[in-house]
Amino acid sequence: MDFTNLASQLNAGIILPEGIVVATLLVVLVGDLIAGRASTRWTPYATMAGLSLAIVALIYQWDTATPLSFLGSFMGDDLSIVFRGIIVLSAIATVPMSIRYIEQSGTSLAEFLVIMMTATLGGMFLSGANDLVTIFVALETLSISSYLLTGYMKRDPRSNEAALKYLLIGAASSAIFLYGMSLLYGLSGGKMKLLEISQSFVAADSDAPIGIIVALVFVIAGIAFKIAAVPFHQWTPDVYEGSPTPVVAFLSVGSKTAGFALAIRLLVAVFPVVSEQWHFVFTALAILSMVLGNVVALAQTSMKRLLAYSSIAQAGFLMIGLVVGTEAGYSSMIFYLLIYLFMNLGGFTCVILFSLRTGTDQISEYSGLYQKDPLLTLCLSICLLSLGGIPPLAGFFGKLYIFWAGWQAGAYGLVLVGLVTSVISIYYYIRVVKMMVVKEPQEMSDAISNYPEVRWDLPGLRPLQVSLILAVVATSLAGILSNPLFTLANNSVSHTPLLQAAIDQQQAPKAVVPPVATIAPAVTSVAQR
Amino acid sequence: MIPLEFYLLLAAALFCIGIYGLVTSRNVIRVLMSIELLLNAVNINLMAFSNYLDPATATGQVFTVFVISIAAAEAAVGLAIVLAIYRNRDTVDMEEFNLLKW
Repeated sequence: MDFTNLASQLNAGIILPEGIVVATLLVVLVGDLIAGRASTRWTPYATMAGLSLAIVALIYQWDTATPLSFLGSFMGDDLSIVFRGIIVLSAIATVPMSIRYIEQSGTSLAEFLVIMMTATLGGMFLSGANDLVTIFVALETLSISSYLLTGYMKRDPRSNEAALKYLLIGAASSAIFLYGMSLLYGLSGGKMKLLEISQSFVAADSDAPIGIIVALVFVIAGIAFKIAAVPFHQWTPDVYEGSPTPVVAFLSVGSKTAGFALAIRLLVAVFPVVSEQWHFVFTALAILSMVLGNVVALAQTSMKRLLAYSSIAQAGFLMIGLVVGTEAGYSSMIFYLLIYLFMNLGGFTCVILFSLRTGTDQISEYSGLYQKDPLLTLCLSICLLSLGGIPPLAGFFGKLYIFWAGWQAGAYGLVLVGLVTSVISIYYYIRVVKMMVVKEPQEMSDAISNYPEVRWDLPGLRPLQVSLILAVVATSLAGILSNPLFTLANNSVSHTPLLQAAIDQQQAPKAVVPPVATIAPAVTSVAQR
Repeated sequence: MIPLEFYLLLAAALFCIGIYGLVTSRNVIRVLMSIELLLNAVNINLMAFSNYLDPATATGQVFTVFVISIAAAEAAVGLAIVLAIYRNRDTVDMEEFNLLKW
């Protein structure tokens, strides 16, 4: 009797998508143990099927009446559903890229898939985590499996080195983050749930919450590491250059998305008392990321490092949406993440295909690619131009929406920096495109002159081709046919009570209402729901 | 009874020592040990807060158990990576790892 009562209180159905991922993970792991080497034929497809099933489960949970589960530890609201969906999609897209890549390197594919699904699981839990313990455990699940993925090519010294750097910097930053969380626990008088913490801060109502600011600094260090914001970005280019390319694709989308989910939930829920301070810090981080990411990318010679700096810059654009904190700001950020998923994964698929055929990632080796492989040239060009924000492609609409939201909210400086730096970014994206397209036959690089005959019937290349075409089609059409994505992003924000409370609170000072009086009921009403 | 501040100061000192070790060490194993110090500083903080502010539910102590177990997982992965890199490079000196330049 007691047990059934408790089980119904847990509301465990909310984590059904995660449950499906766990089940898939176990099937792949055990299947690989039993079938051995022969299992490589079906494990990638089982993984994709399981993850797709998780997406279906997520769709069914849209607008669920009781999002709070596990006694308030996990929040399955629409915001978390969108973020979990993006993370699972990025994992699904990573699978077809990795089949051929991992087989060519002679390592086991099933283990790779299992570790990647564990990382996905960590990211999914992080998107909905609603108390400090859950946040920490989910964050570490994601991080530790990312370290393992980074070092997956264990005979390659570059992969080793990338993994070591990632592990040391990552572990240090999560320890700092954790110190911040311990301060939050103490300052709130022994609370773990995010909303209880912020309620106790509001109730204390002190003028100079220095302790809260110290905790905020530690927490921001941890978040900024995860989303690779300047000046916490130093690991990014090294890790991206050294680790296996499918892993980089997953880290640049999945892990970053999880970081943003954590940023929104933690900052908006816990720190309304010091919202001016964290908005200021994130404005600075956004400007630094956009400027440094785009400028340093100009000087890169390796394609993977170029994409690393480009992803730092993209994180800067995304942070504009977080900083302005209006309804349009949040939904533009989610919209841009959805588009970024397609264009960035499409770009990485092209880079993987090129390195599978030539064995190099140097930008100079791309020259003259058009003569040998027009399809790859076309796909890579579309993805890069979209990342740069050239009009008919999806990236343009994503940027447009973010800048429009920023302008509406009065963040003129941020938007101007964003505009100027995106012009800079077009230069280095176009440079690669120009190199591939216009070179004369005699100026071809060595890699291109020895380019193998284009064959898609090698084992593992067919799924890569399909995913490449899908990503490119999505990138070219998502801009023009953006309405469903747009509606999805908007609904996820307007159906999330947490964000609605924060948006109301942002508008409150304009109406000359004492802030505390409006926050407290808003937060309480959210807590009760 | 020892006041709460003493524990917090001890934790802060331990945290600073950990950061110092992190910045100055050249040996990878020492860096890993410094990270353990950071996590232990957090544990002291959590235990102290839990005892003084929240003795009834003791969620801080539960959190500490989570931190300890995850620190163990992190150390295991860290040592595995160090082992892999030692087999390839025959060194655990941070300064030697410069294949990837920023």
